[in-house]
Amino acid sequence: MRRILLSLILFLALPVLPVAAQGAPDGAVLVMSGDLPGQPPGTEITLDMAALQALPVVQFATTTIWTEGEQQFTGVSLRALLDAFGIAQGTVVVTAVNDYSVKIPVSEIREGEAILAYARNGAAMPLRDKGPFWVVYPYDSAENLRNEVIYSRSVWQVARLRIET
Amino acid sequence: MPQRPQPARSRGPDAAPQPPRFRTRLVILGVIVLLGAALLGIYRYGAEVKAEIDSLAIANSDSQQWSLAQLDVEFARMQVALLRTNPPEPESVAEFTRRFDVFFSRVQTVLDGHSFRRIVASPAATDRIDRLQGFLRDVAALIDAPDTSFAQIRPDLLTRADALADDVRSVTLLGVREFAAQAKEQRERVLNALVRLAALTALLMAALAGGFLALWLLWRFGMQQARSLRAAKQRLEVVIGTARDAVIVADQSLQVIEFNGAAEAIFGYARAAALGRSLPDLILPDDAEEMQPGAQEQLRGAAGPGLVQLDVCRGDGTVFSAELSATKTRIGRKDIYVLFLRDISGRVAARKELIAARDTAMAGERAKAAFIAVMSHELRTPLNGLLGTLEILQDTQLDSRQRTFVEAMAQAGQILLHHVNDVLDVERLDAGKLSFARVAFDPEQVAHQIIGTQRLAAAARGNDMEIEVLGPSPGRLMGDPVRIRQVLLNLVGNATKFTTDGMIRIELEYAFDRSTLEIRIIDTGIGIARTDLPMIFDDFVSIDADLSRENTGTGLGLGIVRRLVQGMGGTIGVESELGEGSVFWLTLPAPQASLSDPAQAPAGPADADLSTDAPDAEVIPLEVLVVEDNALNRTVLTELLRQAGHRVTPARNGRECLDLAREKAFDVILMDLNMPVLNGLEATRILRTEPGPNRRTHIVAVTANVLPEMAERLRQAGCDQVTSKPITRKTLSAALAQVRAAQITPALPDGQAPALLDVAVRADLTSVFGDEKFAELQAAFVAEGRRRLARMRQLAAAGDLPDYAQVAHKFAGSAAILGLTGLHAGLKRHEILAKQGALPEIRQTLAPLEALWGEAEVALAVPAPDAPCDAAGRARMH
Repeated sequence: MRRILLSLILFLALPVLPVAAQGAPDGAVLVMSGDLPGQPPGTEITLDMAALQALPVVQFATTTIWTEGEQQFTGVSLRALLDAFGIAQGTVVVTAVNDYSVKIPVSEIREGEAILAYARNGAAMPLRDKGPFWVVYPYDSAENLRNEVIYSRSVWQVARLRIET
Repeated sequence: MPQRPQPARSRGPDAAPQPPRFRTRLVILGVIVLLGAALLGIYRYGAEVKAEIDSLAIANSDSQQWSLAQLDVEFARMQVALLRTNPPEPESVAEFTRRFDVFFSRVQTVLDGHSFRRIVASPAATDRIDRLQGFLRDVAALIDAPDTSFAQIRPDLLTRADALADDVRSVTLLGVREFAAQAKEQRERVLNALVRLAALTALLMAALAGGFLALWLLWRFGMQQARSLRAAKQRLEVVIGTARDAVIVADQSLQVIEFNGAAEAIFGYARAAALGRSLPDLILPDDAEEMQPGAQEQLRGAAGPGLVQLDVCRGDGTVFSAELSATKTRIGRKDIYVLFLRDISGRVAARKELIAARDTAMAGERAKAAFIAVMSHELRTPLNGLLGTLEILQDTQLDSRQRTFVEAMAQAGQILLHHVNDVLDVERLDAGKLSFARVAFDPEQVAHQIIGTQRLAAAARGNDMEIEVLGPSPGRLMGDPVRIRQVLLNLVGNATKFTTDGMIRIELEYAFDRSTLEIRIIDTGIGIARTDLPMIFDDFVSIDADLSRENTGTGLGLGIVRRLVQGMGGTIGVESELGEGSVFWLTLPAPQASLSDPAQAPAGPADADLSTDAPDAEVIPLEVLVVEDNALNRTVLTELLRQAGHRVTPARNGRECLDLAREKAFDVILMDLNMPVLNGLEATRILRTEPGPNRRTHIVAVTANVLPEMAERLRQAGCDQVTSKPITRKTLSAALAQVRAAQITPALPDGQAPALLDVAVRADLTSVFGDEKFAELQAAFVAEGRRRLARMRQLAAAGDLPDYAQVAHKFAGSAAILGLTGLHAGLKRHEILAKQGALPEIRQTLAPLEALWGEAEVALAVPAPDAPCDAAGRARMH
């Protein structure tokens, strides 16, 4: 099932790869790199918005410490995204456009927590507004999601996920 | 007894420990409250600290400072990217655009983020923030404008960026300062919370320590209490366990709850067997309910404090006497009974033995005294005869040798007589038979008489004698000079006996204030050893053992003296020193005599019999049976009657009365009512119903309290007369006058003729002798009766009353035996009349008597009509 899903993603992603590489303003892309299972070392996989939107959609509302009022986030579960690539161990190094970077152990990425949001309040997020991708947690749902570590992992303007094992 | 509420006592044991218990509760409650408050405080402050720490964590989150510093960094990178757009190639322009977007996003983050609100809002930042926002707006507008050559706007962008550099740096630095202040505040808050927490914890620790201390004190107090309780319990157990008395504790329903070792030994139950049993079942004999009513209540302490005697029962069924002390006491809300029991069977037995021994000894003593008295009395008569004969013998022709013998005999006889008289005196004094006179006498005269009789004897031993009256002369006094003389004679005799070549002095001293005469007999003789002094006045004491026994005595002399002095109401004593001499003193109550008091009677012999029982010549003597259990009353009655000239037979109770009445006919019976063995009422009934010589005898009931109904009962029982105590000479003579009147008057009370023949008596005799023998007796009686009647007629005609009385008496006795009560009464009356010398009455009533005889003959003939009258010669009635 996972392989089928991956094949689908790759099928969808590959044709847009050159566009994303051009950095077109409309064509926001996420680059997956590092030790991707079943891929030769050095492989980079670029996922555009459509590829991400093809994955199961997760949506929740929460407040954040960086915004005013409750925000509606839409995106893909980070766990599901890793699963799609068969990543079960190691560390995900999340890097932002502003060169911010944080390491998240794969084991701490759980279903129902972090998502890679691609839309806020029903609209895609521009780079000037923490877009195009933002790792957010449903902070309001649990106490343990309102701490330093979680906040440091909530990376906006995400550009790249590198898998280290 | 109703149970009265006893609030004070019942509350006592409960109330005493209440304050400490209450205090303890208060302390524990306080500790709990304190602990609770401390815990609550700790929780509260703990939560506060946690919140502070949490907020510390949250505040530090997102690396606010870093985030703020990025503002500067990202502005710088944007500037760098801008400078690199020379010449403006598409890559470098795109890079600048991206860096602008990143900076744009950063500014928005700072403006929107919660952490930066205070910085943004601060007045110092307002202008710079406005310029920052203005820059973003303008630059975005320039970049985003379509159809614009980058080269055209580049100089403008450079200028604007340069102008903004200072603002960006200022905002960043402002943030740094603000964060530092915030961090400081936060640290202080945490510190405060921690300090409060620490203080509270310290307080809690102190409270815990206090609580622990209190607990420890309580524990120690409890241990002490427990120890002292244990010690007290052990002591009590030892006391109870080693007690000689049985100690039994029973609960409210008298179930045994404690049974000590002595109880086990005494009652023969093991403690385990006794516990839980019912106490009455355990120790009371089965018949206790009938034999000792109230015994159960006594177990409950009903007898109150003190000892009660109770018969209790051992395990093996033997019953023994025990001394019981039972107490009810209250422990908590229940009564318990504490019983102490002591086996006193040994003591009771010993006491019985002692009483028996004493009774035996006293009986022996009495018998001995009586024997001595009788013997002495019986000795005196022949002795008097001997002495008289010796006196006569002395007047005859005797040679000198014979005269010596006779004188020796006379002297020995006198001594013997003296001893006998001594013994009789003691006996009479002890029996209270001696009476003391109260006449006027002169004590000095008495003393001179003594000196007169003793001077020769004293001179023979070289002793001088003198009399001294100390103080004023008393003159004539009231008393018994005969007895006083006897006493002085004895004492002076003794003094003479034990003094040689010395002085014997009689001192007289009269105490006018006390009306007491004191007489002292003082000698300069050998004296009396101190050890002998206490027994000098005892009987049979002779302390002159080392002297030649020329003056042998019975040892009764001083004993008699003591009795005489005490009999006169006086006291006697002695003081003596060995080798110095002795003083015998006696004090006698002796009021002064007035002139009218009679002088003393002519002095008789010392041993004179003082009884003045001279028969009253005017009185016709009667045979009187006195039935009285009280010895004194009996003696008084007897004495009074004897003095009145009657013959008296005493009886101590109804039984003795009946025994005596069977043997002898009495003229009157004085019957006391309350007597042991057989009381007067019963004795009277029996006398009246049984055959015998006293069936018709006049009975006078003597009673202390004569209620009308009692008098009626007495009359119904057969008493002729009731007289009340005390009996005086007057009441006695009045009572006896009635008796005489009844005897002289032939008529019987209520005009009833006496029953002619007592059938019961006849039946008795028949059963004793058999019909045949009885018939013979009857025949003999009739024959003799005829003879006697004829004789009486003769004697009456001749006026020979003594013989008449004798014949009537014997005839009456025979008639009584055969149950001829009518005849017996008639004959008895005639006997009395004869004794009274009432010849006319006898002659008058002879005819009725003969008529009675005739009837008696007929009555006797009825059951035995064939009785041969010629059997008269076989008189066997006597």
